[in-house]
Amino acid sequence: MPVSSYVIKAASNQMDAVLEALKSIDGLECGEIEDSCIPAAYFAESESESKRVGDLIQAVPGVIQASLVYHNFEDVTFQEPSSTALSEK
Amino acid sequence: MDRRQFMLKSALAFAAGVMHSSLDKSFAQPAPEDGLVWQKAPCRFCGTGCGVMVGVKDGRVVAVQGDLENPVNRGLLCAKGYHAGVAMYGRDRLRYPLIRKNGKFQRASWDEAIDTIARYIQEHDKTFAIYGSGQWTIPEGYTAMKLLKGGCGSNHLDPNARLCMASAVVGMLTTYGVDEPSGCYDDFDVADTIVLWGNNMAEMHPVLWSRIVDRRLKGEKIEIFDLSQRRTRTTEEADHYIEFTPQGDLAIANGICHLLIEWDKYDKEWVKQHCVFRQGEDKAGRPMTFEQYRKFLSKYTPEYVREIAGVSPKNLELLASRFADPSKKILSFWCMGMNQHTRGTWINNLVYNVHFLSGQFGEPGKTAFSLTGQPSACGTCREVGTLSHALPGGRVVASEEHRTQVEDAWNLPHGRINPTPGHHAVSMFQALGRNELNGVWVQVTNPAHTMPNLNEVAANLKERFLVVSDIYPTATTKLASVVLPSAMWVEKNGVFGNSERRTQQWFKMVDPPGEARDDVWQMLAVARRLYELGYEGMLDRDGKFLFTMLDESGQEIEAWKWDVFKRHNIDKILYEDYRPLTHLKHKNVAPYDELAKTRGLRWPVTKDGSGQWRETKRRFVEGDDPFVKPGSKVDFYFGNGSTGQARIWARPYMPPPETPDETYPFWLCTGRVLEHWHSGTMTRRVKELHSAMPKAYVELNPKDAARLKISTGDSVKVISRRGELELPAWINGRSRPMEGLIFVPFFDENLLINKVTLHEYCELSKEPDYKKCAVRVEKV
Repeated sequence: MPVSSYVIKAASNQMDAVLEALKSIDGLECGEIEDSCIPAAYFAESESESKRVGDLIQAVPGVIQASLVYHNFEDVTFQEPSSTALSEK
Repeated sequence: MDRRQFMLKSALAFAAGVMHSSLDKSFAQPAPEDGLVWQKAPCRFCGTGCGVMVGVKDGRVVAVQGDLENPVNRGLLCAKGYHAGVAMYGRDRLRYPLIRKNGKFQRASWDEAIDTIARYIQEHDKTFAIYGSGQWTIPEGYTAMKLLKGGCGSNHLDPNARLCMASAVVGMLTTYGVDEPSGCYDDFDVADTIVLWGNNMAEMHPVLWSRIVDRRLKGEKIEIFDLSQRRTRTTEEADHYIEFTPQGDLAIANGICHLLIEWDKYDKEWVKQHCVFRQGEDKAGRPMTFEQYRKFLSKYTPEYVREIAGVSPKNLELLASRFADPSKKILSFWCMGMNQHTRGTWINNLVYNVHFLSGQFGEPGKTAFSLTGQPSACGTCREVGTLSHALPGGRVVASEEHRTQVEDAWNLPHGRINPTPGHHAVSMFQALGRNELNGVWVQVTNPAHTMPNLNEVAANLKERFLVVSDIYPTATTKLASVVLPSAMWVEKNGVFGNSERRTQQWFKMVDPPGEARDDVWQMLAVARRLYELGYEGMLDRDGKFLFTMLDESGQEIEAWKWDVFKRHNIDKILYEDYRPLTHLKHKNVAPYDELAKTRGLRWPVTKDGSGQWRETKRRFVEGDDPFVKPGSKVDFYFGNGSTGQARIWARPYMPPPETPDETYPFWLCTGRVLEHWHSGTMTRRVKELHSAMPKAYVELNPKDAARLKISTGDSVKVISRRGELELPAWINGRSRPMEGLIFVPFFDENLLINKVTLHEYCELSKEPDYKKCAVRVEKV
């Protein structure tokens, strides 16, 4: 189960609203605001869920950039390749 | 606290740590209880060179975090860097050598594969090529160079960096006589005006972009100009979006210079001290006077620039007014938008002109900066010189003096290195078609996906002896005769050189899967097999093996044996063999042991008075660059015949080779997307990145789409004179192209847009133009 953390940069005049919106994302743990940034972390059941939460963060009005800083994928099951197979000349 | 809570708190603490510049670093480091062993490495994706801390447990990479101690990214990562560890573990990693027999791949032993390749090279040494990569480590590129140029006496060696930054290289060489930028990332922290020349930095170099966005968030006033043909996420942060017709950048840059001179707002003293004027269409050119230059520019009035580039006089004057203001600190950025251009060298020259005329160069925040796309395009391709005309450290094969220097360094008989440049990337694949070259070894790249005019390239490769070293199956392995499974990133030792001249080193952390092995070992093994077969090129002037290596006790290391190779740091030996060759052009890279202790050092790296190794932030700048002549302030020490001056070039506007017409009324521009690394070989194995961007698409301007009755999701045919491709349309999606222009990303191997693009290239840099050709768009 992947663990991810983010540094979320937001418009300074919307910080409180952004923090409130982030806290409403189920399971997202947020730290304290500093310099228009909010640290946040999430323990997901799957990589897909992790991505879904990342998209939710990015979609919060006022969020300028959500940078990923930590990714533990110790328990992740890896996927089949998206396409290429070896084939003949 | 249970494990889940512990990991969550650790992750949160780390994020907080990234935010706190004054943080005690130990606070953010993962606690030892998590059982991971952490080591540093540079990210293996783009040219930014972000530091990544890699967490290993039970022989597997299980975590990554941004490296707080690395000054490049200060703990941040982008979506690709965040998945750098996951990208190693796709289920279809190549694990065993494969040889095609009777049309089918069969598993082979390493001995058989190496023998097959060596025997082929022995028979075809002068018509065998190596096509490499800006993702090669420095020791990998150096080994390939020594094997082919030093061993086989052939210069048919070129990298995929030819496709992405050759124009920047020739731009710098023709402007100030030596490759690689003057400025560094520290300039990003002090510039107050950012000019983006066709560069979507927010999506392509997001960590560097964040350095600029961060400053704005802290209340600093930074004005951003986005010169482009597409509104992107970069445009969202820009103060000014200046749309221009493809190829119009040549006219814009000349137009700015024209205004600076007409307004009498150019920096006369700076120009007098540091510049000469040059005219002509080639690399050498011929001298001209300032008055002749002024006359040349007189044509580039705001009205003429509007006619050529579609930029309003008001916008041109706005941009020029910033360069006319000496209180500004202006930083220009560019990447593929300027380099993949049939006049790529010229537009590089012209952007330097703008900075030189305005004196916007050589002080903190005042510079012109070419961003790079691959992690070691600078370190391996440009500095090692893995190009068809080059030798290590800025040398060229055409120079007898340079050849002799390298032959002496490698203990080769004089005359071994061929004085004739080999085939560059585009001509290499054309020569394979003509059977002028009949074999090629491709490493760390995917030309059957990324070369222009792919229909021809794929047909040519099918007919030839093609060896591919890679980590996953690709469009190129499909055509291979021999496939060699390679070690990836932290499965091997490595050294990369990034965009700001920073050389970074890492140690192997985990074993590669199956029988995969380092590319360096693969080449050493082939070299040794050639030696055993009696191939003369593998002998030095004393009759010893070309790659003879000694351990600390003076005993020979049999590095061609895998078990021996694994026990030694062969990277360090090769790097230290290469390092003295960097001194000729003052590109002195740091000793390997210094790199191991640091998060990289920016060359030139020299010892200061106290005996400490010292890096250089800004090249050519007095007080920083140790090679600058005292009292000169700025010294382009290899510029204009070593006079210390740079060249301001009169390069005219020239139309592109193909422009829209009645039959093909649209411009086609190709490029990258945030989620995928080039041809997607690695990133398409990461489910999250693949699901976020599963398939290529065509972006149209909403007005064009409405006129053609095309909606998002509709199937659309993009047709050029060379080929066609059916793609889903995307309107008002991630970005919005200008009217009359469509954009298609190139990452999708099932939708190869390079079957449509043209193969015309900059005559000086040989870099193809992927950014503009004429196409027709039809709703299916």
